[in-house]
Parts: sequence; C-alpha cells; structure tokens
Amino acid sequence: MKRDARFRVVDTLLLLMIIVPFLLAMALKVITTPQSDGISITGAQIYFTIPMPVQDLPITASQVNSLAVMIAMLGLCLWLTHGIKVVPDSKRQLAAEWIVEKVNGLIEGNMGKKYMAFAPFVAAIMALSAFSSLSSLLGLFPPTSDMNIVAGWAILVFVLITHYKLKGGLWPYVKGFFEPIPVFAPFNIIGEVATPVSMSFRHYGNVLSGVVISTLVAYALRGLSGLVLGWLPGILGRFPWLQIGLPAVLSLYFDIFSGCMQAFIFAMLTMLYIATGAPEDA
Amino acid sequence: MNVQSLDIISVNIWQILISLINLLIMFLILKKFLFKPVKKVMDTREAQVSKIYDEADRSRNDANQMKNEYEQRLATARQEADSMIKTATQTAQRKGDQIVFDAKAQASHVKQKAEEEIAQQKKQMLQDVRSEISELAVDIASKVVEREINQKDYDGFVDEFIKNVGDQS
Repeated sequence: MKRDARFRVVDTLLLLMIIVPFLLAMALKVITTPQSDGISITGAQIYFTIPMPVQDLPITASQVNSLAVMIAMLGLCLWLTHGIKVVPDSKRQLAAEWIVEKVNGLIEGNMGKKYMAFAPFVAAIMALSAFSSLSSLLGLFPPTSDMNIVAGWAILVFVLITHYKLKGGLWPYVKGFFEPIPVFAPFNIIGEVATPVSMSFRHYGNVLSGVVISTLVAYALRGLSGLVLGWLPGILGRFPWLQIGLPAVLSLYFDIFSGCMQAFIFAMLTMLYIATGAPEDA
Repeated sequence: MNVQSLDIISVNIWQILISLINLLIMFLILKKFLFKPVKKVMDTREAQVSKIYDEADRSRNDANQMKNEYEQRLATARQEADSMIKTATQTAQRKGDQIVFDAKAQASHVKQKAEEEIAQQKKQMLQDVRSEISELAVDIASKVVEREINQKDYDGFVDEFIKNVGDQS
C-alpha cells in the first residue's frame, strides 16, 4: 500500500496526540510531587482551586488525567479511522472494525437491537474507565480512584435508567415504588438510589483498594529490604531490592486485570440496568 | 512546595458534573470519530458485496437462460434436420419410385413394341414362306403332273397344309 508523505505526517501527529498528554501529565506529577519519605495515601493532588458557588472546584490530578485520557482517546479514534477504506488494507482498520463489532455485539446480546444507539456510550464508559485505570501503570493518579469521577458516570447512567423507566409513563414509575405493598416504598426508593451509589462505590473502591494495597506493599517491602539487606555497603544497602518483582505482580492484578474488569462490569451493569429498566413493549 | 491533596473520600458536585460532561463528550467523540466512519465503511462494503452477489446471480441467471435457449435451439435444429432428412428421403423415394415406374413402363412399352415387331416379322416370314412353298409346290406339281396347275386353285390347299404343319410343330 502506498502512503504519501502527508498521510504519514498526519499519522505521526495523531500518534503524538495519543502519547503527549500522558507525558505531560507525568511531567506535571513529577514537578509537583513533594519529596517525601513517608507513606501517604491521599486523594488526588490539588493543583489550584476555582471558587464556585455552593462548593469550590479544585482542579486535581484526576481532572488533569481524565483530560489526558480523553485527548489520547480522541487521538486513538482518529488514528484508528485514519485512512479507513471500504476494502481494508491496514491492521488498524481491522482493529477499529473489531472494536465496533464487539461493542455492537455486546449491546445486541445484552440489550437488544433497539438499543444500538447505546453502543458508543457503552464503549465510552469502557474506554474511559479502562484507560483511566490503566493510566496508573504510567505512575499517574488513576482518575477512577477518585470517587467524584466515577460518581459522575454513575449519575449519568442513573439518569438514563430513570429516563427509560419513565418511558412507561409517570404513574407506573411512581406506582412501582409501592409494590408489592406500600410499606415497601422506603426500601424501594433506597434500592433505586443505591444503584448509582453501588456502581460508583464498587468501581472506585476496587481501584482505590488496588492503589492502597500496592502502596502499602511497596512501602513494606522497602522497609523489609532495609532490614534484611541493609548491611550491604553504600548505595547497595539503601537500594530497595525487594521492591523488584512482587509489586509488578500486584500491579498486573490491580492495575491491569482489575482495571479492565471494573470497566467491563460498569459497562455491563449500565447495559443491564437500562435494558431492564425500560418497559418490555416500549 | 506545599501541595494539597483531596481527602481520600471527598465529594465535590462540580467535579461530579465535570466527570459527567466528560463522559458525554467521550460518547460524542467515540460516536463521531470511531463508530460513524467505521459503520459507514462497513455499510458501504456490505452494499458492495451484496451488489456483487446480485450481479453474480444475475449473470448466472443470464447464463442459464442462454443455455436453455441454446439447448432449445439445438433441439429445434436437430428436429429440423431430422424432418429435412425425412422429407429428402421421402422425395428421393418418390422420385426413385417414379423413375423405376417410368423405366418399367418404358421397358414394357419397348417389349411390347419388340413383341409386336417380332409378331409382324413372324407373320411376314410366314407369309413369305407360305408363298414360297406354294410356288415350290406348284413348281413341283407342275413338274410332277407336267401340266400347268392353276396357281390360284392351290393356294388355299397349301395354306391349309402349312397351318396344319404349324399347329403340329
């Protein structure tokens, strides 16, 4: 296949668009992270705060990283569909078609044909969640371990669920809270509200727990290393030898497996809640 | 540098709102830049493929139709050839029959003529023989009886004699 120079230049720019946001976010983190020896498990770093009504808006690492992920995703989408042809001649087009077909198949299998418009939405949830969690591999603060981020998604999903439930009419929706007997109304309302709360807490808690455990283990291993191998002379004694190995295995589970798993679970729950929330015949 | 961090569990409605909008933006990005172009290309491909299939079907139908037509035409041609041969054979037969008939007629005619001629010649010969014999007989008789016998008186007698001879022979 013949690619002219202009195509290659655009290609390179798109690849830079994928990589540079993460590099910038990493640079920002390296510049702003304070030198500290102690163990610190906190939320996202606050870069600056914008005064807003009701509550001030702090611009944090999770915001910045979310933005980086979004820009990178936009670049990835453009790169995947760059030079797309009716007769595919590139692996990236096959990858793009594979993604689209998989998501479409997932929607069709779980929700049915009439919800095909949800495919990009579900893909957006999966991609944002997965890439946000995976950004911790680069040493970035994973936005999914900030509850506000995941809560935003869960609330949007909750709005969609309610929208589809209201499609059956306002009265059946209200009446649904008083079934099977009116005494159940408080529980039903709690159950309704619990959906977004459980969704966001599940996702956020999983990722955060991964971060916490990784940090604790890394810190403990450093201490253990100093204890066991501290007798070595000079820098060899100060180097945390035991931090090599085990954290990588933990990262494999908490960052990669758990991150992708939670993204998938969140997307699946979104699909199922929306599909079951809608009245059957609508 | 004094860096602040959020508490590990903190709720901020603006951050939640921003995240919600981020997801919506992400949805629009994926829809516009990934799903739409890919779907367009796939639909175009599907249309092309179905077009190609349609064309193939049509060509096959055409070919089948043509084949049938040719087979039919071939059958017709064979039939025509058969009937032509039949007609030709019949004509030839008829002609041959005619020729044979003609030849037979001619032959019988010739035969008849020949027979007639033979009969004529025989008659003539007989007449010649008869007159000669009668002359001879008259000569002999005149010599025997030494007197002239009237020729005409004996012609009847000789005729009868010859007739008898002819019948016996």
